[in-house]
Amino acid sequence: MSGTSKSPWIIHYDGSSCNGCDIEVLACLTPMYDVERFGVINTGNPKHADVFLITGAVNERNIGVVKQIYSQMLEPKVVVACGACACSGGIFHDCYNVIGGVDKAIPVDVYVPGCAVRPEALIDAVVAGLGALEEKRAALELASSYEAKELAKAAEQERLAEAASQPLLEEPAKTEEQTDIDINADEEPGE
Amino acid sequence: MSERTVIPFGPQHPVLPEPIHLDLVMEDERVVQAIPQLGFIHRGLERLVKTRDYMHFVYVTERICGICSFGHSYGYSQTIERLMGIEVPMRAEYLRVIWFELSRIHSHLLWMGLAADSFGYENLFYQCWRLRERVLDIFEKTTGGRVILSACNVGGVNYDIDNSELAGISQIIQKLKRDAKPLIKALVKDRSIKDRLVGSGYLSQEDAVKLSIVGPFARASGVEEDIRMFGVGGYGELAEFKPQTSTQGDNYARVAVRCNELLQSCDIICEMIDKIPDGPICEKPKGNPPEAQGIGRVEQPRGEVVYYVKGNGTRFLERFRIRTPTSQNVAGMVQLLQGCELSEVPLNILTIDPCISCTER
Amino acid sequence: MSSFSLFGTSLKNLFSKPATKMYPAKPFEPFEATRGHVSIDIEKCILCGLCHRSCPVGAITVVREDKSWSIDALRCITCNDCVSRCPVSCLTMEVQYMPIAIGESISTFVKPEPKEEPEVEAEAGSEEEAELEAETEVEAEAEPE
Repeated sequence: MSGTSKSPWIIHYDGSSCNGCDIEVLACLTPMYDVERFGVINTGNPKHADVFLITGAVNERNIGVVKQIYSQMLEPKVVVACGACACSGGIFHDCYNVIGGVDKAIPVDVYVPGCAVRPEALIDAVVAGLGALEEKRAALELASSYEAKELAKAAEQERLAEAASQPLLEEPAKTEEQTDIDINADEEPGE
Repeated sequence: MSERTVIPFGPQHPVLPEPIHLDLVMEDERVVQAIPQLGFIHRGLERLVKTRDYMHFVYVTERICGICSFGHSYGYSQTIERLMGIEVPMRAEYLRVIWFELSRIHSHLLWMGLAADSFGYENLFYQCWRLRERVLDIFEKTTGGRVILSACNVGGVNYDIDNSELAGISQIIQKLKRDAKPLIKALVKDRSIKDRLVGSGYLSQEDAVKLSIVGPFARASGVEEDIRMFGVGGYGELAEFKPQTSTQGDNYARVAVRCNELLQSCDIICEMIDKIPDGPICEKPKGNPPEAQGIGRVEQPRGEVVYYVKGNGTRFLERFRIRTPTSQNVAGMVQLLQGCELSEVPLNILTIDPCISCTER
Repeated sequence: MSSFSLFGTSLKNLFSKPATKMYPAKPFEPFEATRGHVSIDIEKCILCGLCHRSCPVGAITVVREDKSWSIDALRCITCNDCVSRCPVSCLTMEVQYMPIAIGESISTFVKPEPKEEPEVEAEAGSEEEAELEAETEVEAEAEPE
């Protein structure tokens, strides 16, 4: 279990929600539910965060903001969609301005149903997200491990060798005509 | 003339619970102009009247805003009852006032915590929200939900509270009032907080009237207006009701007005519980809304909300429109931000108690 | 000292039990009226479809041909409308909150075929009777029928 899963930092964004789920997310930090005893801190900076808690059925204007926050977070990262609106659009799924759930904008790892979502369910979701975080971290480490790098280097060398062994394409006979530009010529391009 | 820079503030910011974008035009450290951009929460729910009938639309109005949730269902139900001429039983009116004032207490405690967090007093944020959990427990015991209650309906209320439980609630609220007083004292009497709040973010009474500001924001600048003093519904049964006002008009006055309203709500709840009559809790509506228009007003924790409905004889309404308090107060907020320093911007925004999801629906 | 106004509260908090609910260590304690999730007693259901038509979010689907009733947990807003409208009271609002999901979360219940109860009882009775007859009255078999 790596250090990140022992103390995941969360970033929270309200993606066009009614605020009900947002105040329950903030209530998780207060003394009654207190996720800070698990090392969780609510940060405002996407580059410091591991878990993205998003609420609300996203509207057209908010898609860009949600995608930007998601792209600014560093790998490995986990997205938790909190509340009925974030999972599927909820009661607003047929509104004209709503795209119908967060998974239509960014990939989601854990869905938490409820209206408004319960703080206990949020704690369950963060714990489940930590499992996904560990798997992603293991996959990243494998991708960046020494063996993987060696394999990638060997594959690249093979590709270069294959490209070098093929006969060169005949270069078009351009040098003679191109270098002999007659600066004294009266011809103009238009004529 | 020094160079001007533009700093974008929001929509994602640690101190903002909701997305709002402001372009702050700065000269050195002073804000010269604040240009707001809204639209991040607009869901277009007024159009849902075409697909949900007038009884089911209560569930949509509850979810306009999670903090003012009961207030919206109360105002909508009141407006439809006026439109259709339904007489609500008295016990239901008393229960509605009890839940509405509990909603006001929870909203003001929430706001106190967020405002304290915005100027760095995180301990007070945790203490206020810890106290607020007692109110949420009352909500869950009586209606089943912590935030979205689904308690109010056209014709009355959905759940009853029996008299022994009401006596227990009265005890809890009296204890809450005693425990809230040290927190309010910490916010209102502390010298360093006073240095921060007094004198900053001043709005005069003339400006408040000119910009049509509503709610505690206006009452702190001397405008004595509160819908509850007109005695509609259960509020007509109160012995007396006087709105809490202040004449100072700065951030300190707004904090003081909300703290006083919190204590006044505790008294209103205890008075209502003492006087509540017995009887039915709901009168089922018969038929469809007629071809007519209806208007209703309630005093939410953030100000006056106006509801307009138009019926067309079918079970689907023709039109539904709300005028929420923050849509008026945004103009006042932009005025407050002119001339303030960059580090005061979060406090000035939070001091008007913005509820952007109500504004944009 | 007015600059340390929370002194009394801090002292009280220091010497009293912590307010935290210690959730995963201690189990979740709901109230009686808590609205968690909707469950159905499928044998009582008459497949009238009232809950399907009245659900404000469209979470419930009733298919008469397949005799199935299904609910999408990711859409349900626990408004209690279906429970109050059901004419045979086969729906209940349970207190346990809906579990988290990794993908979809649709629960489907299919109404079982009704058992042919009178015949089953008659067979059981006739079997017992036959056993009794076999044990006690052997001569009865010789009687002409």
